[in-house]
Amino acid sequence: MAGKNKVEKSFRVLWDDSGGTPRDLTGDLVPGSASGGGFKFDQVDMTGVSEGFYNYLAGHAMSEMGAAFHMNDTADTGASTVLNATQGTTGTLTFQWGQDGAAPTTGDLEWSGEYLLKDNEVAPDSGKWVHQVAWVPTGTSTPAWGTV
Amino acid sequence: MAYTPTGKDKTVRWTRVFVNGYNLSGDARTVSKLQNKFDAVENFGWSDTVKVQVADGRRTIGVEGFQALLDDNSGSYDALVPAGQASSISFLFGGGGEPVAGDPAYFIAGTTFANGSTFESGIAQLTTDIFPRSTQIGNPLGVTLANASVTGTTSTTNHTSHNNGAATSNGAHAILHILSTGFTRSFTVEHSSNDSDWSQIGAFTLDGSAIGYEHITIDGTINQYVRLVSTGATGTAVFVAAFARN
Repeated sequence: MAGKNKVEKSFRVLWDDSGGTPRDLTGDLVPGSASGGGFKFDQVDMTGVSEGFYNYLAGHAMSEMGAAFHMNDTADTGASTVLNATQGTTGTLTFQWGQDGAAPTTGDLEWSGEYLLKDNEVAPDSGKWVHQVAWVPTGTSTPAWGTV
Repeated sequence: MAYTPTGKDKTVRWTRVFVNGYNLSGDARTVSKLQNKFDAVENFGWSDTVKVQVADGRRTIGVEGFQALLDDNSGSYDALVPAGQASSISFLFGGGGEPVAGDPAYFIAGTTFANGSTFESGIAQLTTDIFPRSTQIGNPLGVTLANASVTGTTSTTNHTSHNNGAATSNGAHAILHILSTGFTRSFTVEHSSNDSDWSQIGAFTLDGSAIGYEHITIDGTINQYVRLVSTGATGTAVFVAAFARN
């Protein structure tokens, strides 16, 4: 059932590993760290001197995605394993929003597209190590909203 | 047999840091960031909706804001002062215990910049940045090859191997910190496609006659498995090593 019920527990992030297999990294996702989905358009200022209000048109869009992941070296599926092997490469990044605490299922919202894994930095966070990750859009396939 | 990853258990409590042959884990307090990011260049045109980018192949790496207690008893002062000197820093991330061969590692060979002393919570600390030198740059995120103390007469130790997935062809680099003296030991890096038949791909010249570090680069193909082999004679050898494929 659609609605304003997209709690964080229902969120999933999937990123292609070095072999192109989508890997669910949500088990290593640091709560509250994921950001992105949707576009942020440039505000092109069209204001004229005699106008009473600033006014704008939309220019190009940005779609930077970010998240922090626990350091996890589990073979094949651990965040460290997947991210370390794919930094600087492109793949499909997908954010999915399930409902009411349940895993995303058919019909639930998702944002997906072709992204470049740009940043994979390591920092301490309350006694543990996390990967601070940033993706930027790349290629010719524009990221878009859709459904699972 | 190859190391079995221990998963999501890499806490600061079990991280060990080595600088220029000194174990600074007892002085280490925090670090701002272990840098590792690619520059991205915008390659979109007017008719594109989205500002798409591509990696330009140039990576920013470095240790930013490493803070350690000011310690002049074979500690941070001895390892980091003065600024401007060649340095190597290696972080080994243990999983619920002391780091072992196969645990993740972050290491660079570079230069110590700007170490300044401040008082934090009433005690003097050194804060340091270390950034890579021009000839010693590689992927900083790799694995621990050894965190060892080996005692005995003539012996060859094949340290636990690491399974790094499919072979790659972009070379690698490795670091060795010698933490004690009074022993004689040789150190080599080997690779294998089956964790059984091994061949050497790199060798260190440090042999235990002095505390210090050595950084080596390795060209060409790196097979699936990698390990450190140390062969020694007398004394107790204390050393750590790390390895990363590019």
